[in-house]
Amino acid sequence: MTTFLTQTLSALPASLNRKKQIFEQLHFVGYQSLFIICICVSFAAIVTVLESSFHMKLVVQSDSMVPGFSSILILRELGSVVTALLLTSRVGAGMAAELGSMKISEQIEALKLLGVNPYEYLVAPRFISSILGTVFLVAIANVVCLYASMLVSSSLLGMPGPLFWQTMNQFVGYKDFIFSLIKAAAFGSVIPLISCYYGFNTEMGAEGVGQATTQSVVVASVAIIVIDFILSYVFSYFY
Amino acid sequence: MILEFKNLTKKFGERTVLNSIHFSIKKSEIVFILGQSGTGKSVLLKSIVGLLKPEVGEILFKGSNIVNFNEMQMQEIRKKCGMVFQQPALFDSLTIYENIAYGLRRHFKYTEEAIQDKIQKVLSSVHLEQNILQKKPQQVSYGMQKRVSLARTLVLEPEILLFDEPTTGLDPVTTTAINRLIKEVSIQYKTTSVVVSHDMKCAMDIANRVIFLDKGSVIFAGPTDEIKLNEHPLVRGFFQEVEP
Repeated sequence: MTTFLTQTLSALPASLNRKKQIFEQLHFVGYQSLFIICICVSFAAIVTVLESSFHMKLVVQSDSMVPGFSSILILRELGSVVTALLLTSRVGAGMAAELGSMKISEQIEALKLLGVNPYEYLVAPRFISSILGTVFLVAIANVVCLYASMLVSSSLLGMPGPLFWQTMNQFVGYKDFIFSLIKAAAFGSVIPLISCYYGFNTEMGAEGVGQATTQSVVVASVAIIVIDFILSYVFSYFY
Repeated sequence: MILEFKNLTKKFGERTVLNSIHFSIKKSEIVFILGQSGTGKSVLLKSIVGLLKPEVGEILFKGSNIVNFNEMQMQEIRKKCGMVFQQPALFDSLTIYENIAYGLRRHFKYTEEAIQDKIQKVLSSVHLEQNILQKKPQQVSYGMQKRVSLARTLVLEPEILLFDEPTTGLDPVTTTAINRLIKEVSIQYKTTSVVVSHDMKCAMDIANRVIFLDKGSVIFAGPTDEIKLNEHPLVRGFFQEVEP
């Protein structure tokens, strides 16, 4: 994995010239994932608001703090982590399967023989696009989540929209938004590294492609959860 | 000699795949490397183009030991040694034209007209029609993909052609056609051809010399007409398949 990471990072400067591959991957990671991510994070936000309201009413007999708590949860965790986990299963699995198929059909070796560095052609553009795409998607996901929370608060909890925003502003600041984008960049870098690593090390035909895909999704998901813990712990010193 | 192997040893962990391999190949020869599966034939081919690095020994290309070449130096060798893989290994996202043109654009500064001319010429050499050029690899048959793969290698006009089991997975008719094609292009392009295969009949038909590998060691190296005199059980076993 260390060699793989070194090769990828050393291929980054040269791969910046591969704009076609970068834009193709950006389209795959960002644009094509946008709809599914907006749908999923919206429902996650709605559930968060409803659960918060239910438990607050039960414990403190008031749900007036729901906008504040749910907004903190959305910006600090939900928006970035749910988006990253969805990208792992959609984009990461796709990358592992595609590169795994290329490996077993000897396309990666053919690239080497034609004088193309596979890290520069295949891995680095995915790495760059995934970071940019994940940051973009998390930014959108955060906004969509907050709007979904506001809508459900006003329609089901009887809390007017302006009051929601006002309460939210008392709890969250620009730092929360910035930190969520930093998390997004970290998650966005981990997904292609793990997926491409497993893709590049695929063996044993179609069965191997399946195994590589499964392993890449599992390892990337665990990595995202662990990185989320580490970054949340570090960021807690800045709040 | 265009290619020489001296004391070549390759291990994967504890397993020795190539064990002190020693033989040489002359310019313009067609050499078949035969042997059972897992005897290190493909490893030998991949070592020539630097896809695998042997632990011990030398591979001399025109007298220069290329084993310790760095990636940059190896690129020059790869321009001179074209390899046709066991599978067509065509890039799925590109058309057949783009697949064949890929190496030309990468290694040379030809105009688009020159590239088109070269592709038309190489396509007729491998007996393919022009109308497949705008198709994607998955839109043509497996046998055609193999020919395209050969065309992609030939268009770079290599000095040595390496074939890794070129007829695996093909029907008998296409197998015969591909084998005939190997001989045709070797003569037409004046290349040295090294073919890894299990096909003794084909070796007897088109090879000048045959190298037999068993458990990573050379058990026979010589002209095709000397094979029938060899007493090694494995060589006899392979030869009996083609004897009437």
